[in-house]
Amino acid sequence: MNDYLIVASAIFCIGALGVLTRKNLIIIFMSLELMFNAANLGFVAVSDYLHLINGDIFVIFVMVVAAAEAAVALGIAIAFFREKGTIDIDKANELKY
Amino acid sequence: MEILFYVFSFIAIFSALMVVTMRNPLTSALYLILCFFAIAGFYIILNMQFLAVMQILVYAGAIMVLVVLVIMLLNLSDIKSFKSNLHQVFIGILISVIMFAEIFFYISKGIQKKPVGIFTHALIKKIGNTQIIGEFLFTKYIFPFEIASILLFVAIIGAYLFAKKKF
Amino acid sequence: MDYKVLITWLIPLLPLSGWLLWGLFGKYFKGYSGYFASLFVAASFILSVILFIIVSYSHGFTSTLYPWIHAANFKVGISAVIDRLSVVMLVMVTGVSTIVHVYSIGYMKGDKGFSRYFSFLNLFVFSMIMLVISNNLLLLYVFWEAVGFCSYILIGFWYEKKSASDAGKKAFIVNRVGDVGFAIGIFLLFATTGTLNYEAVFKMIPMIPVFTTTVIALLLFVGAIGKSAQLPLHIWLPDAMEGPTPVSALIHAATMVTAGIYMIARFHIIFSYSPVASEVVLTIGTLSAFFAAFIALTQFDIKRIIAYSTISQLGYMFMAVGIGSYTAGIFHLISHAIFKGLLFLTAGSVMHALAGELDLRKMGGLYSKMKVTAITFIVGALALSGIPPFSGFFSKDAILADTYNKGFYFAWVIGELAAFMTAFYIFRLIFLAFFGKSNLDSKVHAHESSKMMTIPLIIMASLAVIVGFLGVPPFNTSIFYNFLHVDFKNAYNFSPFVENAPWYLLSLVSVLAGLSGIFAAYLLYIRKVVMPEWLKSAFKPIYALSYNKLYVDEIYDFLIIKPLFVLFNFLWKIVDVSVIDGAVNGVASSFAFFSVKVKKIQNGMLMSYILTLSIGVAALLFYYFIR
Repeated sequence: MNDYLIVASAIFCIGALGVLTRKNLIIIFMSLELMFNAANLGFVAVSDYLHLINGDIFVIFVMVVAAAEAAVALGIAIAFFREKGTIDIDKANELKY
Repeated sequence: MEILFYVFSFIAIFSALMVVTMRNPLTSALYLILCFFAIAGFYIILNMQFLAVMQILVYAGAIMVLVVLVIMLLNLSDIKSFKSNLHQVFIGILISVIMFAEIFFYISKGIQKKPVGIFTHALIKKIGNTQIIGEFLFTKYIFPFEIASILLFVAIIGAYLFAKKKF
Repeated sequence: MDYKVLITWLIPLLPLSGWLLWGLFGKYFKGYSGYFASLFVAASFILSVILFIIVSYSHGFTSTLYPWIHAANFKVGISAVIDRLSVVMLVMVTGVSTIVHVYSIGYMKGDKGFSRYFSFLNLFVFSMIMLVISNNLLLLYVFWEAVGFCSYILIGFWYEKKSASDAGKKAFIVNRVGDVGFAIGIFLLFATTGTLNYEAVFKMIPMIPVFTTTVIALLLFVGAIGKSAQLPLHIWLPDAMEGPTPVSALIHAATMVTAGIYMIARFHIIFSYSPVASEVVLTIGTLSAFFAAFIALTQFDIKRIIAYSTISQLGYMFMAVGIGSYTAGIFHLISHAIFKGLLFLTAGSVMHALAGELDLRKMGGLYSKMKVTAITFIVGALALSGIPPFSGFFSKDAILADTYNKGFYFAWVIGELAAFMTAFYIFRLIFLAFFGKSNLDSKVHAHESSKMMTIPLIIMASLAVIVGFLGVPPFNTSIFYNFLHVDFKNAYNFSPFVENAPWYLLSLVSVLAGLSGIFAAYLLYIRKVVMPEWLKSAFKPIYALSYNKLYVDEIYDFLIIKPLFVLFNFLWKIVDVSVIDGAVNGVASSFAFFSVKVKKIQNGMLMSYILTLSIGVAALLFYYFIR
């Protein structure tokens, strides 16, 4: 199980790296999906190790949330593009004061 | 099995790296699909075929199609690549590496907990993972399940509102 | 549900629902809310009478509507104790309330707060009923405060008038002083006995030391002093006359101010086991009876005279409960509620006729213009002066005779003197207002009030004649005594009854005191044998003392209010401005200084936020790692 967790954490950190370094909103979104999947993999591995089913059920809920999140996030991306003419995250700089 | 695990891990990590480094979002999206397939492979190794199918259907099938659609809709390939500044990239790498190191050491200390559940590989194989998940989802977890449906509904409305021409 | 229980809880719930109805939907009822409110209270009255009959043919009971607080051994319920004492009080409270409600329809006609007035009045009736029937100290305290609150909102009913809202505040604040004592008394009682239920408390009382009982009794009595306007805390009651007159009749004569007497009668076991506390009650009562009557001698405000008279009469009741004659105290409470309510209502009728005029010097000769009012007023005055066969004679005589027979001769002498002054001041009022030559303002057209107001007056006046016969002397063989004494049989008999003098002799002295008071007023104000002005200059210091209400307000002003002003001025000018304001301003400016620095973190860039967030995550992971 440890191997699975290490792979999962590696994918998670790569996703975090993408979120932190990239400026394209779509790529940030995809990196987030990566992080979700890493977490899912962790859930399934642990639940397999402990002979439980709860982790697997939780993965289904995470998928539901991811789907919902995808719909909303892409909607935001479109709205953002319409507003600014770009999807450069650095242009999202009004969340202050 | 061992071989399969290493193959899948290699594909997953490599394609994940590609996702975050590729300049063209479309390439990234294709690598992401590859990554999702690798993770689905893990699920199959872990005896969760149902989850693997779901992974491919929902992620690779639905979400990624949506992403690619948006990429095409926004016609992003034309836009000049977003240049990340070095300063930011450096901090990002630093934090990611530190995080990974921490998790790695934490995992390699070993997990002492013994198995607590009854769902051994043999039992799952005997009953079938789809049936087990279904039984749990519609009895013990029926309330979160219904809540999830409401969440999806709200997401539909939210997406519609965001993508509308005018707020 | 048992029908007795149903009746018990319907009595308070009817006025409560009335309060909600007129309070929330008053404007839809328009002028009819008064009629409906009267109907609700009248229904309560009828139920009270039924309950009275039930209880007098069987025995009392307790019933719990709802367990309010339930924590381990501490149990407090919304529960009622129905015994002879509480049914007598219930009938009195609901009866007087009904009459006052009906009277108010005429009195308040056309007022823009018509529905508001009736909703408050119904709330008051509800609170008073609950105060009477509650069977534990906590519930009693809640409704003790509730009636105080109702009194406050009703005194300040015409809140646009500065004097009215000030009077309301004064009543509330002075009552607070008493209620603090009351609350501490309840705490002490709870700490000593560990329960708040009447029955349980009374069972414990003989077992606890006399000193503790005395302290508890005195603290409870402080509450009674405040609520019943006895001597040191009486100053709110005369000012409370700023409220509508029916309110004065109901709250400040008949019901709320008598709550103190009811409370002592209810806790007679506590008070009778502490002779010292009882003597304090007697002393305060006697002093109030005397000095309030003394002040009333020279006042010119018709309602204030009656208010001081109320304080004086409440003093008599405290005398009664102070010597252990609880039945006589309650009897005077009932008869006083009727004749004092009557006096207030007639005074309201006079006010109504004279467009709000209250000054005696601007009245005179009203008898010919408003006969019903004048006659009913004279009936009330005769009752107050203790002239047979009016109710005041029987009840006051019962108290004074008991005082004499139980050996409190000094209190008896002062009581008789006060009776003389009572007769004098009330007939001074009558002679100045209803007889003699008219000093009316020429613009004012005096007229008799409407039927809606005179009929209640007539009912009250006839009651003032009838009720007295329940207590035909000698008092301890009368109907009323036999009915109510059952409830007080457990009291510790600290001052045995010895027949020192036959009852008719004592009655004769009382009647003579009353008659001579009336005669003195007659000589002074009708025959004018001696000009009042001459008396005024001859006894200047005494006159001034009485006219200025013993300077109590001034003494309070000097002793309490002035020092407080000095203290608060100091707090305001020095402490508030330099210390507190300085601290606040300092904090504000230092925040302003730092915020300029910290503002840079909030640069609005999403990426930097995410960066900070992940640094936090890494740090948290590190914490788990090293743990």
